[in-house]
Amino acid sequence: MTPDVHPVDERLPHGKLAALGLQHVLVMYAGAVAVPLIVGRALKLSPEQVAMANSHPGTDGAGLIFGSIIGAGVISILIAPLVSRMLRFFPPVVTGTIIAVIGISLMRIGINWIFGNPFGPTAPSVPNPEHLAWLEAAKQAAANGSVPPVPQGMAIVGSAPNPKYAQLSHIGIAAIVLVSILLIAKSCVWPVA
Amino acid sequence: MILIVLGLLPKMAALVESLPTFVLGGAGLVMFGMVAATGIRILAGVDYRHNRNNLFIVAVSIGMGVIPLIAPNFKQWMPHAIHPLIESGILLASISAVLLNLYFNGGKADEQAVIVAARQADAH
Repeated sequence: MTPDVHPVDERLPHGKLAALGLQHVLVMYAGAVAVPLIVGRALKLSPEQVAMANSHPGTDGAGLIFGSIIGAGVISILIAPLVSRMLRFFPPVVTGTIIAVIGISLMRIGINWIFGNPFGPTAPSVPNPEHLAWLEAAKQAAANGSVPPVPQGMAIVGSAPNPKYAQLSHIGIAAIVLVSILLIAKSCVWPVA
Repeated sequence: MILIVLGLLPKMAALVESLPTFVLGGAGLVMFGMVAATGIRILAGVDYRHNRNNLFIVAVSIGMGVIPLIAPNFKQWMPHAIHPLIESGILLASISAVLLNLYFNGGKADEQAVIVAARQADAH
């Protein structure tokens, strides 16, 4: 590490090199699996199917998605010269605002990861089973004609707290992950950018 | 090469898939928050003292950007055809920021500042 070697050409000690290399592989792996993980869960595929998509992509519907991504890439290459001329419309006050809003919008995803999706099976409240039973009884009574018919599309709104939403154990595990990241971050020596 | 090996290991894929989302959540808070913090870092370099209008650009655009987060049903009476254009807060904020910047600052090219901001965004 003589001062006349440019930082880019510097060769780190083997231990540091291995640790940083492993970090890079993990970052790349995380990037590669994140998309199938998120898309697969959104499509409600079974865990086995998502695991398959991570190790080798399927053929049918996925082919269309991969094709569109390739197409989008070609279009990006074609319009790149045009976009570079639009650079003057994007001073720091614009880019900074947009990036801040992207981050703020994405926070919702991270927060929903911790507490559970507010829609679907992990919604914060679920219909009270007693209310559901009453509606079922009312429907039967309506079939006999003893009460007026149940209106079309009548549904019981969730009013009972859902035990699957915001489980304390889940929040605790997320907190442990967060604290570990903060501990690792403090022990790291950040490169001066 | 290590990535190819990892990709061919179904065990690894199963391990990743079995990660519950609340484990990712702790990391997600850092990951996504870091994006917001990078935006704020870029905004910190903006000159508000000599150009107060920059405050308007930031104020209105961030407000626009959080509409879909806070009022997800705001578009329920609007024509269906424009829903794809307005359902993303990122797009709303981008359009608002670009237009307000044109309105207040015009299309002045300050390439040096643009390059500095782009470098900051990359370095994050």
